[in-house]
Amino acid sequence: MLPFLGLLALATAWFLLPLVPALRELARPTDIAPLKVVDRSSGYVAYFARNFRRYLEKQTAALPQEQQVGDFFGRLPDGTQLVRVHKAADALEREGAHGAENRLVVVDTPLTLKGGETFLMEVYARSPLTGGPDAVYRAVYAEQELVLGEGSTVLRWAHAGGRLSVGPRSVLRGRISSDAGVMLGGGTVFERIGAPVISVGEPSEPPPAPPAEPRALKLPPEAKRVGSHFRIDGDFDVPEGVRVTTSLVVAGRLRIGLGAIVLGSVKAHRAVQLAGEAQVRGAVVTRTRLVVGAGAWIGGPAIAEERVSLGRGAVVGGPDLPATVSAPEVELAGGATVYGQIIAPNGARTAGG
Amino acid sequence: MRLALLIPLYVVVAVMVTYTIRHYFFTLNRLFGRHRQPYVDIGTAAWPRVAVFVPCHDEQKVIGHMLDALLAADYPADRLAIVPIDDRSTDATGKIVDDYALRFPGRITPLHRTGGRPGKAAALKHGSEQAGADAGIHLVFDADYLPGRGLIKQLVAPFFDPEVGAVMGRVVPINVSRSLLTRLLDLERTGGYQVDQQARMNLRLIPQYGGTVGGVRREALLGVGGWRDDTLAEDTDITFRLVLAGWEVVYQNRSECYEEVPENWPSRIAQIKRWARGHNQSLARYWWPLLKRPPFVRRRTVVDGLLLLGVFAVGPLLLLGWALAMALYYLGIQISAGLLAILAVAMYSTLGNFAAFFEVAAGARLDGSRARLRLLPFLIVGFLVSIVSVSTATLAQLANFWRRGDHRWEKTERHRGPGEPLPGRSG
Amino acid sequence: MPGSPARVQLERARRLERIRIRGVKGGVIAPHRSMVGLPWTLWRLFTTLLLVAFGLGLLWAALPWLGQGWRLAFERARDFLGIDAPLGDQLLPLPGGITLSLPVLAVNTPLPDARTLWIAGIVSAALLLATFALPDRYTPFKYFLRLIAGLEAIAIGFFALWPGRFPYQLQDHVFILRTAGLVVMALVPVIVGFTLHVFDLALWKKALLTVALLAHLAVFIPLQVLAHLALVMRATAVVMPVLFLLFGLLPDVLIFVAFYGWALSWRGELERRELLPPVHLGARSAERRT
Repeated sequence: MLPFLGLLALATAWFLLPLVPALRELARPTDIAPLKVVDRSSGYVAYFARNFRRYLEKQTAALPQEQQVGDFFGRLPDGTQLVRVHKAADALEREGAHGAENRLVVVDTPLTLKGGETFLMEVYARSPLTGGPDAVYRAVYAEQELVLGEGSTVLRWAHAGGRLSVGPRSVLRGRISSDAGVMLGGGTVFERIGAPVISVGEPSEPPPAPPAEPRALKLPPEAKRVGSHFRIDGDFDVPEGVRVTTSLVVAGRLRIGLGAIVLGSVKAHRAVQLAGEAQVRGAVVTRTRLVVGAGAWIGGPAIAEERVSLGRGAVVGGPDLPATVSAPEVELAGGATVYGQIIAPNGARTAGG
Repeated sequence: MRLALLIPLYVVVAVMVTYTIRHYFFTLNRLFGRHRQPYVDIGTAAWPRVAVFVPCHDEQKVIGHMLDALLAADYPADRLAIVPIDDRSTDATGKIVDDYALRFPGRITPLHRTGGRPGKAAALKHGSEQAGADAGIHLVFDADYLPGRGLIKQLVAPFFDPEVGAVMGRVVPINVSRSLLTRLLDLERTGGYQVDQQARMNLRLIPQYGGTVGGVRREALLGVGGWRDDTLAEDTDITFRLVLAGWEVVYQNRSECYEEVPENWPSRIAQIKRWARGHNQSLARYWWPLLKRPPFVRRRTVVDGLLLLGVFAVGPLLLLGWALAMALYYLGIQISAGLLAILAVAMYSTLGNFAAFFEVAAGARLDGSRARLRLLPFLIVGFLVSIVSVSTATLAQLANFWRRGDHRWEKTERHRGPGEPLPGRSG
Repeated sequence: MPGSPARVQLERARRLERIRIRGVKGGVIAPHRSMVGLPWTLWRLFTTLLLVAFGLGLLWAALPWLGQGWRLAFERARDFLGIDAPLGDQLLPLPGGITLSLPVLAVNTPLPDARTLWIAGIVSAALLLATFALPDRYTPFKYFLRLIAGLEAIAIGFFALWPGRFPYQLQDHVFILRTAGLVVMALVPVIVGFTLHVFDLALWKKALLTVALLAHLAVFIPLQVLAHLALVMRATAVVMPVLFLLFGLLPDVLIFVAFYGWALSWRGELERRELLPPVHLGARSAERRT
């Protein structure tokens, strides 16, 4: 009997051997926490900026009274090295002469930087801040106006309470936001910007209502009604100067002619092209590319699964009609304006520079 | 006799191989393929009016948390209507929702049902007929869910696409640590959402609307006849009705929400039986309309739709396969080791979606939860219970084919107490 | 050239990128899990195929030793268990014209008599009844025991109704089991290739996993077969169906899944080198799709 049991025991033990990690994980779990569900940051562009501001306020409030104003070189309560520039506006220059600035910088006074600095920690400006060319910022928060010089690089985020102007050939990684507006120079690359108005150069306004209602377009007989939209198989062209009163879903490519107006939203399974001065009052969605001609207007979100190209003076959204442009890649010509957000995870680029 | 047993066995094995190939393809697509989440970045828009329905029956433990979470949403308050549907609750649920309505007038408008057919589907039907007429989008949450502040906007965003009829987010188990069962269910959800649903979204197949953490476009819902109250799986039902009518169903992997999974086996068995019966109902109703391929529906959508409908039929089919293998064994007819291996490998799956072990593994690694993959061999434990439960439910359903059957509230047992702290969430 | 402007610029860009992806506490800030994928390179494809070939080649080369090792195991087990039976050879033809010699113990197959059938029946019934006394948290275990009891009841019924018609000898059972085990071993490099090597584990870890799994099965399969043999010799052929159906291939696959899960719990190269996982958004080469 014993040999028999011995054999069974050996076979069982050998069988259980690869199950040891599983049994250990069962008995003494090392990975048992629920996934962390991120709450807010995805849609709120200024999330990290606001968090930083709250953090700094809290830390600063915990400093001794005499250290809360004026020039300061020291540490915050949590150990972060801090330099506060108040009267000694050249303090940064002195430290920066040795290389990158690796302290958190607080600027209390209007300041114009020379350029070429590398800020490895955040920069916080209570007054208008003008950056110089070729500076690198890990992150910058300005309570008022912020100007980033030509060739600037932002690594994580930048926020301005006032207008944010970005010099040509700048590289803006992460989230860029402003409570007033963002004006971009040519040749600038960015990933995500949120502001009441975002423009390449001076912003363009949404077009006024046309003086007379264009003639309504009669849809082809093969268009099928699905709910409140019409679906068209294959490619479809909206002729120039007509009005489409419903939403459209096109299984092929969609072209909206010069000056045509679509009162609803449009979706195409292939590319969408808006000719100059065309308008879509609702959203424009495409599974591939969206090309928006000069002076064209989209009222609602513009969503493309490959690329959005906004032509000269093209506008998305309006002062009272916030909207988002979302595509892996976005191109903006001069005067292109978005009232709301531009998100381009693979990169957005402004023309020129 | 030999052929009478072998042929069905080959059919069963062919089905298993088909699902295995399908899930392998999904896994590869999710790992390496082009990722589609085109709407998730819409953070700024002129947000439309939304009605959020929360059907509930005896949910006093959790309904307060749910309503608090909805009230804290960053969706414009004047465009968000919260409609808890209290369906003949015998506990304090009705009183709790009325209290909230008093404290937040205009924001929370409860509906109380005292008659009509019971059950979630009927409650939604009633709710959508009585409320939300001015809301273009109807979202649905079960009472035990905990939506984050940004979730409503994320779930509404796809509806800017005029073709979208329904949206589904990702459910994340919150009570993972309670038991082996909850840990296995966490793996099941991971495979099902992180890989399966997202791959179907990437490939433009049919991501399924799952009945919670999601919603429908009201005009699409009305266009296909509204919620059906004679179904046990109103989610599968509406998914296929929308697809057949030319609407798109989208999945958003980023739109996560906590849920409670069953913590004990009786609850799990009840849940899986409910899902099986409902899903099989949809299979019976929609396999033929799908096969006829209405306009707008592509061939590959038909194929995947049929496979999706058949997910809960796979369990009994696998049992049949083993029974055939056993019969052949007793008859002395040798079955190839390869066939047996296929049947054996199929036992290491999760039954909710028949996700194979490698699909679960891919999902967990993408989640950054690699250590819990050591539990993979225990999948057979959950599968064994599921396959028996699903098979008995299917047999009972077939036996009761001529009886419509009584509908009643069937829901997962709640374990979270009213005073229990919520987990920390970033943001 | 060291120090050249381009090189300096590249170094600077890399340094800045390291800063960009790190949080203030030094941890890497990765994209959200809902967005990430894995990088796919030709190198990965090449190494996957190489590892599959490696595994198959290793198994092929080890076959003679496998046969000898299993023969040794059978000899030892025969002596250990006191089985009075000669050790013979069963030839298994393999693809490529090769024949593998597998050991076989020429034992008689003990068939159950009426007493054995009654005992088996009582034990099965007791097992079934016992499952009703177990609490709910043992539900899977209950189902498993009921499955054993049910399958055993069918076997008992078969032997009771058709006593002389059971189609398998013990040698057949052993042979089928061993052959099935070899098939599983042959499938291991291929299935591991398709399902594990696609991940970003280090090459040596992938190779180690293949070798460990094959080695484990090489030891387990004869142990499994010998255990079955010993059990049948004690309990008669009435347990053979249960052993075959529940304890044949299923444990082999369980071993595979256990190794697989353990391997995929190991740290990947992306994580080890603190690189960001890719997000596969919007094909850049999609101009053709306008």
